[in-house]
Amino acid sequence: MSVRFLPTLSFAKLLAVSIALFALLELLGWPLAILAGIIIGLLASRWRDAVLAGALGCLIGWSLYLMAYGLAAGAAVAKALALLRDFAAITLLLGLALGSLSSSIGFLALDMWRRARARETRAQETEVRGTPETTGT
Amino acid sequence: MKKQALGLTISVALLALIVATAARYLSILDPRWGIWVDTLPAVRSGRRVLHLRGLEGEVLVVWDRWGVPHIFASSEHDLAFAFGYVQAMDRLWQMDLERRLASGRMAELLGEDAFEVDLFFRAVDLRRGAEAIMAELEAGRFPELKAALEAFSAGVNAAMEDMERSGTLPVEYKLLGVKPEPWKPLDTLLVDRLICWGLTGDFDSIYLYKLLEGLQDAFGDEKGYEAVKSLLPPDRPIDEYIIPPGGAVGPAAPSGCLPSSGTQRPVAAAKMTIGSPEGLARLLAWWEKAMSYCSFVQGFEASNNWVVSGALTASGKPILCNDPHLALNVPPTWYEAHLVVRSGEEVKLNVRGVAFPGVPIIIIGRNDHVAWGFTNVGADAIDFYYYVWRSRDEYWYGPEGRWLKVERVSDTIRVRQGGKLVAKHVTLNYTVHGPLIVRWGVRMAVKWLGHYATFEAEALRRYNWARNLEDFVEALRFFQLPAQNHVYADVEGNIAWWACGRYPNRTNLDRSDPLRIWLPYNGSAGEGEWNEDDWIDPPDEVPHLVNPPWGYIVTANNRPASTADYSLVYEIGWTWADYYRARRIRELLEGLVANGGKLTPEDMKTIQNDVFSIPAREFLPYLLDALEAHAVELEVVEREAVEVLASWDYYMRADEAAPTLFAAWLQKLVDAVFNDEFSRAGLEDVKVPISMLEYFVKHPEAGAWWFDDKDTPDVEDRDTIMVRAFKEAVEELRRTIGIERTHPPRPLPPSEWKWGRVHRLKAQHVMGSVLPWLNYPRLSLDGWRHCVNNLGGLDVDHGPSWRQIVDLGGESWCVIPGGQSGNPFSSHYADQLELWASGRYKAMELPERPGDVSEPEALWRLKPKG
Repeated sequence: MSVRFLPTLSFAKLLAVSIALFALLELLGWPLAILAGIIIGLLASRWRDAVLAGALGCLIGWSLYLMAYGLAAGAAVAKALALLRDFAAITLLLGLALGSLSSSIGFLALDMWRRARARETRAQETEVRGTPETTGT
Repeated sequence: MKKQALGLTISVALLALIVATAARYLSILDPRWGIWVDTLPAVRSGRRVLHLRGLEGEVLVVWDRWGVPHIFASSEHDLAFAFGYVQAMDRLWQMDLERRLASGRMAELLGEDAFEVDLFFRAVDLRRGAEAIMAELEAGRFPELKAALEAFSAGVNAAMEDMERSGTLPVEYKLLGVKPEPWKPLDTLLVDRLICWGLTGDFDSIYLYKLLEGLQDAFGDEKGYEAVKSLLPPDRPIDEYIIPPGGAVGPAAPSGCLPSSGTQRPVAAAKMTIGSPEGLARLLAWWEKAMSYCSFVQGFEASNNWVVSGALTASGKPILCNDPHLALNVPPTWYEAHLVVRSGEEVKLNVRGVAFPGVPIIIIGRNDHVAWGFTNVGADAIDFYYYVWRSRDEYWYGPEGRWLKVERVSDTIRVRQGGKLVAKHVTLNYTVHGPLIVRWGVRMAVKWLGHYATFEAEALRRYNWARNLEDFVEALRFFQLPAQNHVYADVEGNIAWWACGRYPNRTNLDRSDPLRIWLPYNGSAGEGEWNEDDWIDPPDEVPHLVNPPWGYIVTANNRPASTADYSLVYEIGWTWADYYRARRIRELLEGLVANGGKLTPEDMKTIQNDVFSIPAREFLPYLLDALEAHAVELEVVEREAVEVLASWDYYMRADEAAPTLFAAWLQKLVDAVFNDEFSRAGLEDVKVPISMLEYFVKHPEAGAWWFDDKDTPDVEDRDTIMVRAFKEAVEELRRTIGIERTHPPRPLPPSEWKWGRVHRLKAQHVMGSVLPWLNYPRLSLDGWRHCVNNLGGLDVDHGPSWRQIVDLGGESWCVIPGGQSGNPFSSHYADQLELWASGRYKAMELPERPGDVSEPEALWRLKPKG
């Protein structure tokens, strides 16, 4: 028996939500990426989906900013990337790490909670089945 | 379950590790708030409307293809506001750095390394003068200036707010994790003080004291004194004065001003010593470190300006040229702008030129009536005083005599340490003369003209608005510091020059010997007090020329006049530049007009970029003769080097090898001639007037004492030393650039030791040693020190910081060494650099309407908010 209070999403939907969430919360700065990752983890049905969607969501969500800058100020972005290729790579690596780890945390925390709840529920059901006379009186 | 718990623990641990170790980088690289978003303001195109609180009317800013703002306002208030706004958009970091430096607050940004610099600037108290000026403005003096400073500050703060809101503060703030504080009118005055300090805050008197005392200790009083006098004679035997001999100006000579011979020793040598040689050496090292931080405004004894009357020009109107030689840094020292105030159809102000970032006024430039340019006079605006001490706290003051207590003030310098600011408490000391430096056993007061309220900002404001010679002369009265050689021209055909500034009128001074004027003073005896009721003031009391009949005026930090023509010349300064650049400019001008030729801006471009070396012309024949006489001692590579030098035309071109040989030899010659004596005075790398060395080379009997190497038992003569220096230079070059780095390495002949391989631009950002991508590229450059195109050093870190050619009857031209923008992602970060390095220019137009701006890149419409 599973315990649900959030919907789980297919990987494609999860990735789409992840990109949108990471991009949106980035408006408030990088620390919110952790929150975005945790939410994605909560929405994932599998750990692998959570980690992949978190990593790619953050990577792509953040890249959207660079792409937007590229559209608005192409020459400046080209110059920045030429000057700071390493910085760009580090930015994306950090995004990957933040996205994957925070969504892993979200998924695993929920998963543990679900399992704990499930074990608790099973224990209650066993208890009920083992005492019919008493309950039937 | 255990598996999940382990996974969760590992994920949390890794995330915590990343956040803990990379939080700074995450903030820097944050896609929305980090450095990447600074790409957005790096590109300006199309039209924008900005609503700004504090504006009174609409202002149009047209950005041209070089990133120069052309600001069209309807009032002086709005003009200053908009100028503040656009300056901050391009140069906020630089402005902030300047005010922090002047306030002694660099360590808050840069940490422990800047602590000593902060301590220095607090010790010499740059704030004092800025606050004195502010107090005068608050009291109602110069209300237009005060209003301009306030409007400018409001504009800067509006830009700062916009940048904070949009996350586009300059990348430097993000890299350091700090934010700027609001700009205040006092901050502009602090920038003013910093510039003044950079150009007049020298410790030359201390160097001179140390040299004199050191040489007297090493060689005896008389010999030491003679040696110093031979290096620093009152009148250099080879020189070029701004006023040609016979063109007397200024007030009559005070009695006893002429030099005499003598064997004076600094009075301080006995009980009243300023400090031990070691203490003074550390003091000078402290000064040098502080100056290295404000090198962007340091004078480097080098700038050129000249003005030619319309009688000698093709346009029939004067041409005025200026290239101030300051540090070449990133961003450049200057910010260019074109400022217009219109009221309906009437153009009230139309001025263009450059300002120091943080200053709301064009400092060097032109308007539609007049043009002006500056070189540093090298004024002696700073004096040092030593005392008789009764205790640590009490010193004897004044000829009448009384014991005074040192005033002590507690201060706090905050130092960045690991992301936190740590307070360090210091004590600042003052005597009646000013700040007292107490360190390493040195006790010495510093009196600087910049501690007083001076009003050059008002003078400059008036230059911007001047319509004729009368307006300009009236404004000169307020230009007090740092004394500048003003060249002036106007559309009416006038040309003029003033060594404009306020100079102390020192009292109770033995003027029988100029050395006494230049050395530190005995403060206990009341020596060298400044008469604050009677300064040497512009415009009439300073050396000047108005419409000289010969039709031109040239200044290049050279001496203004002979003692006969201007009797106060030793009072106003003594560290004049060598004659070379001024002579070369004059030679070129006279050559061009010799046969009735008429001068054009193109001629002036050629002169500003001239790389002919007069020292090479004057020294090399003597070297080549000496080498010929010592030919048997020369090795093959040295003989090849001689051939390279012998066929040279004395132009310091990057693609030639002879300049490399000459520059290396001249440096070795200076070392060989002077270091043996200077090292005994505890001084190294002392700058000497090269024209004095030239004189010694041409008159070996006059320089015999210097030529002799005191470190050997023999007595060396000029030729021996010149040949030795040559051999050392060749050997050093052979080791450093004489080998091609192939496998195996291949020796390169001297003809391949090209100047451009060693003489390269080194324009650095203040954070450039850590983040080299902020620096400009290391271009190979023509020129060298003492050339008109004075690109000094091998790592060229100073040179023409702005080139301006104004033809008041034709086209005008200008260029800066780099770009307008301080944003490294902007195309205007360094877009003028190649232009500058190759001696090319951009047009310096004065369009009266926004629609007339050539090659517009973007238009900003600034509108009042609310």
